[in-house]
Amino acid sequence: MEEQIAQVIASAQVTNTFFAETYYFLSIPLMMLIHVGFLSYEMGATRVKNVLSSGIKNLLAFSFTIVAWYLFGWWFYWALPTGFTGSEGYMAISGIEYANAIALPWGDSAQYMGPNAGDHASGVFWGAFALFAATTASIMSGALIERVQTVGFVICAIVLGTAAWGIAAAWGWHADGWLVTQFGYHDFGAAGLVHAVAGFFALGVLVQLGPRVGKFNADGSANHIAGHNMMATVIGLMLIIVGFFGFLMACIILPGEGWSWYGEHATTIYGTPMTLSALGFNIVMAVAGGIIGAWIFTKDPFWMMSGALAGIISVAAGLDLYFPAHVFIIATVAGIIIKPCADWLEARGIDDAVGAVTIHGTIGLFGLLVLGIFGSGYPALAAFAPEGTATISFVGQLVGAVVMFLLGFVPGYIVATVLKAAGMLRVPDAVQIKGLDPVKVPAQAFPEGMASPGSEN
Amino acid sequence: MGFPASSWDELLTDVGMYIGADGGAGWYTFIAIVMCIVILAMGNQSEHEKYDKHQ
Repeated sequence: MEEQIAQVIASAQVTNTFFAETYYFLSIPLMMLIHVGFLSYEMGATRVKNVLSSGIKNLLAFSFTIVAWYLFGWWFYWALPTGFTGSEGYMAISGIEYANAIALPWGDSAQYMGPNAGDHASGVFWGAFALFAATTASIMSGALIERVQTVGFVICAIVLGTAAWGIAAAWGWHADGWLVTQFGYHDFGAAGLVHAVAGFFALGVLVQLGPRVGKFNADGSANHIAGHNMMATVIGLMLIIVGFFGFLMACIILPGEGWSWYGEHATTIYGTPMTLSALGFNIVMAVAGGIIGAWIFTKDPFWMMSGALAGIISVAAGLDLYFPAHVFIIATVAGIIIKPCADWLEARGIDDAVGAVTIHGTIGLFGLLVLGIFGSGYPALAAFAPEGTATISFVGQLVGAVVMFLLGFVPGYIVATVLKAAGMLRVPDAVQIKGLDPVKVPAQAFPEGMASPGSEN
Repeated sequence: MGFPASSWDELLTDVGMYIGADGGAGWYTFIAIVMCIVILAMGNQSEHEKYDKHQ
């Protein structure tokens, strides 16, 4: 009898392990839809003369970020949660020594960086994190379209997707992260550590990159530069929303595995309790709220779909905790404020072509602070965390918001400054006027017709 | 190079079972890094040649 029970338990464990492996694996192609969306969205938002260059930029950002994440981003995430000292944290799953043992693609740790019949977790977790990294890098992409050089942009994407995001995730999205243990920072769906970091990294680059030719008049007033295909843009934005379901489902730690926080309960990455059902309620309510909020004043499908993104981002930090009606209220407010925030930025001479700084950066910080107001007192870590561990608080979220702003803006500004000095950042004005596609792409987006005014393509 | 384990069963333990698990992984990684750097340098050169031609 005991032997039979042991067999049943062992069999159930095998099923659980394969379910967990499959769960995270399937989040990866869902997250790929985010990149399908970015591709469609940005190509639609560019003029005909720049469509293919825009697409090339997206494809390369994705590819190089994935490779860089494999080579060193994954190591950053595991090595630096307690800070740049690289010391081990309370949960003993961090520090340089730990990262050297599991996250380097050479030496003994390489066994966890490739096929291994005894390891059903590393590859799927790495894959999900690699898509988080690529998503972070791609968020910046739209802001820079039609005047950033390809290789210069790829270098920005690598720095953002691996170093800036890797460090942000280590500090604020890890049970040993110092922002979590010392300040109770809570960011379940990465409002700060993906969206704010990416948005403000883009701002740092934009300051050095400058606007597209023709964006601003001599008196400082701005011209609207319309993309060539609003349908592609709006459908792309909807695809990003679809991909977010994969992104957010991968933020859950499933129960019953050696790496799980609990045997019977799903948790956040911090070890606090949550359910997939919470996401079922809250993601769709956030999308609805964001669309409605943006519709009130803009009546523009571009801003309405941007509002959907803003809606999710505004509540992402607390998707595990909010009540659905509360989500709707916050997301609606986010949808209302995005256009005024984008206009404010444009009035200061920043040409953010798709509103990425506002939608991801500003709303990401807004979401962190809103959770600090309403979620104060909730536990920030698992029940077995050390005595005196901080709980969620407004001050903790404020500290996290400042750190995420700096982790985005400072490296973005520095890398853009270096690239500008090396002549690798901005496409020459004459080429911008002629069009990037006729100059450097051996293909045409619309070979049988359609051309931008003043361009050969 | 080649089959790194001493038996089929050894592949089912908690060790790498990829080609190069006996020490080649680091070399593959090194070559991949060099390839990325060279490709970016070539891409940048090509991009600037095109800009120069059209100014």
